[in-house]
Amino acid sequence: MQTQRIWPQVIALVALTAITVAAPPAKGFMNPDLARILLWHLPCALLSTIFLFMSAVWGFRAIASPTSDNDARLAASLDLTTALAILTLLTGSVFSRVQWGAWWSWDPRQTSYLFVALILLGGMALRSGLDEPVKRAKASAGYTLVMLVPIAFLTFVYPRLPQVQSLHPSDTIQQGSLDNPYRIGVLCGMLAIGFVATCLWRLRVRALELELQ
Amino acid sequence: MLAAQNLGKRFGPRWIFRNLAFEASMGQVLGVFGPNGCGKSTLLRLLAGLATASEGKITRDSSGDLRQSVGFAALDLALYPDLTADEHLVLAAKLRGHPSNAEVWLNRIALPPDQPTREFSSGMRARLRLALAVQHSPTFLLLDEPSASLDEAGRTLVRDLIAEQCGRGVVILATNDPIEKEWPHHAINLG
Amino acid sequence: MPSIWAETLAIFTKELSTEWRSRQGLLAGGLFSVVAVVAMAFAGVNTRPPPTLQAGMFTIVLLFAACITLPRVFLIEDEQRTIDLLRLLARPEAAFLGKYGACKLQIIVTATILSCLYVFLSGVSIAIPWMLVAALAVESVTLAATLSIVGVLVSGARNRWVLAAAVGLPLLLPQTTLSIGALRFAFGEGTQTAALQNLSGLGLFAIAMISFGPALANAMWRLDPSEDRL
Repeated sequence: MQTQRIWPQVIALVALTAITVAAPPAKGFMNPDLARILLWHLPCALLSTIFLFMSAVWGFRAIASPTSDNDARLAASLDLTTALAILTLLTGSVFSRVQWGAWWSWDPRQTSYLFVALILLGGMALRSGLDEPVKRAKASAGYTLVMLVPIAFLTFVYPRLPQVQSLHPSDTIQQGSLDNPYRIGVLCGMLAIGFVATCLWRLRVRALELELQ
Repeated sequence: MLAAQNLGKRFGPRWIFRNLAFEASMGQVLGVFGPNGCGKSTLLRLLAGLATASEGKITRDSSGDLRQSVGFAALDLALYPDLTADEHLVLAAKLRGHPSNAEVWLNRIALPPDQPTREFSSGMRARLRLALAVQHSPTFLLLDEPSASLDEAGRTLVRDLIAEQCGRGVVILATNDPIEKEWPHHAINLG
Repeated sequence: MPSIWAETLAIFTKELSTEWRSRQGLLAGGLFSVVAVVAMAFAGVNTRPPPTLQAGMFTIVLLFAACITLPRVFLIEDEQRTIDLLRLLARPEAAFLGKYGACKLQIIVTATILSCLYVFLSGVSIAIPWMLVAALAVESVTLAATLSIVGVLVSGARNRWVLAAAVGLPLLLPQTTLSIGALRFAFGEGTQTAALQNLSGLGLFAIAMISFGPALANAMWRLDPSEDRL
């Protein structure tokens, strides 16, 4: 049996921790030193969106052809999307405590992301409630495609509505409002967390395929 | 013609049956025998398209929609408790797009038109299920223990319906009843 | 073969006659709405909650009433084990659309009763009546579409009634936000532009859900899934 080495993933996370410590304090924040958590928060949020789109692709394939391959890839993508969304919420909550003075501020962006996490957890609940494999694969794929509408609204539309006043910055990367070290740091975060998440995704796919067989 | 090649069905790790192969031609009655739990009802559900095979292939020599070409009657096929027999027949006819002939069928299966099926005995429900299965003159008639809970007149009705079906298609009959076992032209034993 | 619309009409009629005979869905939803509105009105005696809060409470009561009544239209087929008969008789798309039609009618009736009771018991004044009607109409259509999809998804699941709420409520949260945005203007707060934006967002949700529903029902319920292998 092929064994999975974990040291590359550990090194990636240690490297990201080192980058976080080495990064200069973030200007313009209430607590510039602790704002470094941005290097974990932003990559988690971006990667969660990437895994969500991956889930949609596998969802589309699984609903058309509910094979064990497609179903395992869909389920693994959904698991990773949910895990990253929860990490985004947790790191966001730490950021909120440090910068805005409360663990939870009911900021519209924070709340809309909580809704996203709840929608993703609803998908996990649905999957766990179905025993018949073909039905589970189709229902899970169907839910993934359906949830794209509310999630796209909550992630891309709602925070940008004119009547929504948020403390949370939007379009940080597109507007170029990140300093160079932070831009590089976020990129490193994307690479490190993305690498770990991809390894976990592959492991989860293998485990699910064995389970289904 | 209705055929299966290398057909298998499993629930979790347990195979109900595997490597099943058979062929039934037009005008034939194929019997499916075997003890309880051997997969007779499951096989009929696969042939009706209600369930998915775990391996193998089913070939149905008929063009068009399965709803038109398959008639299915099984003990666990539930009826709408708030609808009457007449309403069931009319609804099925509307959905499949053929004349309902509800009155003719109600006379033939000897059921009252205006009583909701929740008040039916199991024998009355079995009669209505039979009528719904053959009302649209299907090419493939799949019957699972059709005479169970039927009286002598009911048994005669089943035999007549099978004879009529032989004139236009295939009958697959899953049964353990000694009398019904005499009817098929050939049979497969799942035990 | 009958047209899909003829089949849809047959399923819709079947649903209505079944509901008319049992009246279970309407009674459960109606009773919940009455109790909730009475509780809301009683809690707010001698106070005048701000319009946004009124809109929020009103939408949430409608949301829960819908969650109680609507999935029933789909889940009852599982409960009575009539889902096989339905699959043998009806095209999945027609089954979805017919049942969706019945859901929509039920929620429109519930929303009408709810709004009349709310206005009567709490004595609130509706600043923009046409917006109340428009928001309730679009919200009912969207709620019915989303809950119909949830009904299809959870059919066949263990604990399907609980699961319907667990799966449905998160999906409905964004719609609820939009509905509150439209209703608060009806109750006298906010701008018409923002309300219309919310209303169009709600409408787009409805269109997306209604368009996807029949395809999903076809994937879940179609006969002869011999190519589906797992």
